[in-house]
Amino acid sequence: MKKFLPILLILSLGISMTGCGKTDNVSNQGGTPETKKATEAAQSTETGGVVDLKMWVHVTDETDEGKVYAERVAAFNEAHDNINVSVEFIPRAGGGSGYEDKINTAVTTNQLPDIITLDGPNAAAYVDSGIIAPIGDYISKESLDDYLPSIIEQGTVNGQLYGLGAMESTVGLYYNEDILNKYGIKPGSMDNIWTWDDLLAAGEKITKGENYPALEVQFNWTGEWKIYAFAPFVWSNGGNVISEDGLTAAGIFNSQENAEALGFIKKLVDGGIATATPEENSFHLGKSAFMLNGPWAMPDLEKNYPDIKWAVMPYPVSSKTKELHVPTGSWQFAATSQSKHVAEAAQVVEWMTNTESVVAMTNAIGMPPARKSAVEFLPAYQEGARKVMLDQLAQGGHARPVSPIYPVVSRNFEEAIDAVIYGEDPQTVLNQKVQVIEREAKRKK
Amino acid sequence: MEMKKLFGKYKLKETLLAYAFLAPALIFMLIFIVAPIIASLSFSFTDYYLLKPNEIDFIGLENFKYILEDNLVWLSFLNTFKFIIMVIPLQVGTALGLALLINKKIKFNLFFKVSFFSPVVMSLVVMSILWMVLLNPQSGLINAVLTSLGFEKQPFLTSTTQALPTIVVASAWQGAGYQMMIFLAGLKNIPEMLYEAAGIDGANKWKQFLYITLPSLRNVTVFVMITTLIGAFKLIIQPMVMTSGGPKNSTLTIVYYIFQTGVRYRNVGYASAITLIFTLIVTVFVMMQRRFLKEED
Repeated sequence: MKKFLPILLILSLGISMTGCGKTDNVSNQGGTPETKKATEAAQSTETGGVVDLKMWVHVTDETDEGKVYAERVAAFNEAHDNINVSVEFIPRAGGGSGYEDKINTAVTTNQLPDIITLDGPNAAAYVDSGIIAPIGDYISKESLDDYLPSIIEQGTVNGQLYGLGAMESTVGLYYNEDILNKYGIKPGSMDNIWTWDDLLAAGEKITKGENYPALEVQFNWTGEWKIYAFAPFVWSNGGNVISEDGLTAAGIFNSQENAEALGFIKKLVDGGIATATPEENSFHLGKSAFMLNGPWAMPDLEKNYPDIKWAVMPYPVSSKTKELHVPTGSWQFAATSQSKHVAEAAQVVEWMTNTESVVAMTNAIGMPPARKSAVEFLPAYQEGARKVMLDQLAQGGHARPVSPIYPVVSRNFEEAIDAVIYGEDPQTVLNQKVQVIEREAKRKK
Repeated sequence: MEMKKLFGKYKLKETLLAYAFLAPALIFMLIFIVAPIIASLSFSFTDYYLLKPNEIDFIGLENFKYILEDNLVWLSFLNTFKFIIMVIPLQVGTALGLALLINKKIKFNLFFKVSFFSPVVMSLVVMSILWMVLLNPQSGLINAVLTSLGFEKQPFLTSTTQALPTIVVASAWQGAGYQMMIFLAGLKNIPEMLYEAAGIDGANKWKQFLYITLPSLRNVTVFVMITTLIGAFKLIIQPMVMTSGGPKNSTLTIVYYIFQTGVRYRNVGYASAITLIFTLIVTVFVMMQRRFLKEED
């Protein structure tokens, strides 16, 4: 008997290995959608006429955002006898990619839930890979019209609506009223939006007078920030980042308009108005007169820096076109293609972004509401700095490009901005980067 | 005949038993080392896109052609080599120095031993964040010390030329404690009588170090250098946390770029191809290093 034991062990090893090989083969060859559906495990189930839906969100249930999701799902389940939604909270650990890693794995093993959350710019790649399903048909036109245009733009791929968000985000030009008064400079407003030249002129004057960079702008933040915050310069100047289908960059990414927009950034740095490595909180401390930042900076300013008199004016526009384009983007909800109940899932997506949900979300984390109807329940957004943020979103919100090769586009945009900040010529840099994007696009065409 | 048969049977039994004992380790090795290597090897000839696991096509040498055109691959290799050239002398030298220090019988020896070793047990991410706080160009402690001594403020991680050397110093500081323990073990193995004999012959401390300590530590040094080299090739956490590979890709290392290609750009096939090239280069380097260090024997 003793000598059989090793043989058994080796045999079992062999079997387990071939087992691995087989499942690999199945997933490699894919198989028809029917067989895929048959093998799905984490999918919704129907029991006694009640549709069970599973939803994944990208935060833990201890965060303010997670608490709102939990509350709103509970409210949904109470209001719907025939649908029961259960949420799984998945933190974005590991450089923020933990949640996306989980989605990637679930795609490979056909274990996606019915509803997922996704970051705005991921929509195109998820559609391209058949992960999310169109939901536009399940949502009334009346409801759709209530969302900010940038929310619809962000969730639309190839003319079809796939995702909806509960909150928006943007970047405004914060200014220190005392410093502006000292130099006799009149701030801009929604009726009189500052152009790049206005900002350069004021910046130059204050930088010289205070002997300190007048504009705090986070040129040292890395990752998605650069395309999020600075692509509007390009759009405002009449340029674009990539073609409509997201696969042509030549002549678009390296256009003269874009070179001029990056030239504006270069002027800010060359003139010493902004630096590649701004001192942290230099606006909060009253050293810088201006700051380009999002609404998330407001609670900190209000709570911890009560001595600073600050307000917000709209994002500066190109002196050439004077067209307002402002950063936008947020996480959104979408129904997955693997779900057997897309109609019900779409209902959940709408519920999670309805007026009540939007109000709850804004109250919890302070981000601008995604629905126009929510504003009447949000006094903070009816006046002052927050109203400016909301107004500029409604008028000039511009979603980031929709492209299956978005990560490469975003990276090269960031690299171009970095190169310009560190002194290189905008047009030369753009010409170099466009080749990288084109090469990547070639693989997708 | 009879004997041979018996012997053969005995041998088979022995062999099988040996495999049985090896089986637990072998199974794990197959699943977690061999299988991924084979998978990655075969993916490098495909267009595997992370989100389309059902549409993997064989594309021959396309990925490798693409590597030739991809400046970032070569830039990240170059950065990795720069890092290696700087970090090996610094880290091995520091480790040896620390080992010599705590090898002396002085007061609070244990305290120093623990302090020198503690960075090793610390999480790389935590360590990187602590260094970032210290190195902050405006409000960091290091620049405060520099300015109080009359030096100019340094940009450190925000400069294209200083970022990589800064990461070298942080990494050497973090890693040296481990190699210090290995050196210390080597030092303890040198017989005391060698030093006594040399002392009687009139060799001073420096000569003793040069002609007794260093030659005795030869094998230990080879081992330390090879492990440091392999560790240095795998550099990813520090640039990921401290600089995100910037500014201007000056701290983009090859493993970090492979990670970005596979996870952020989702091109698993292409990332596998770079990994294959990377593995070949590391293998060649380790073999060269062993050869080079052995020949002097």
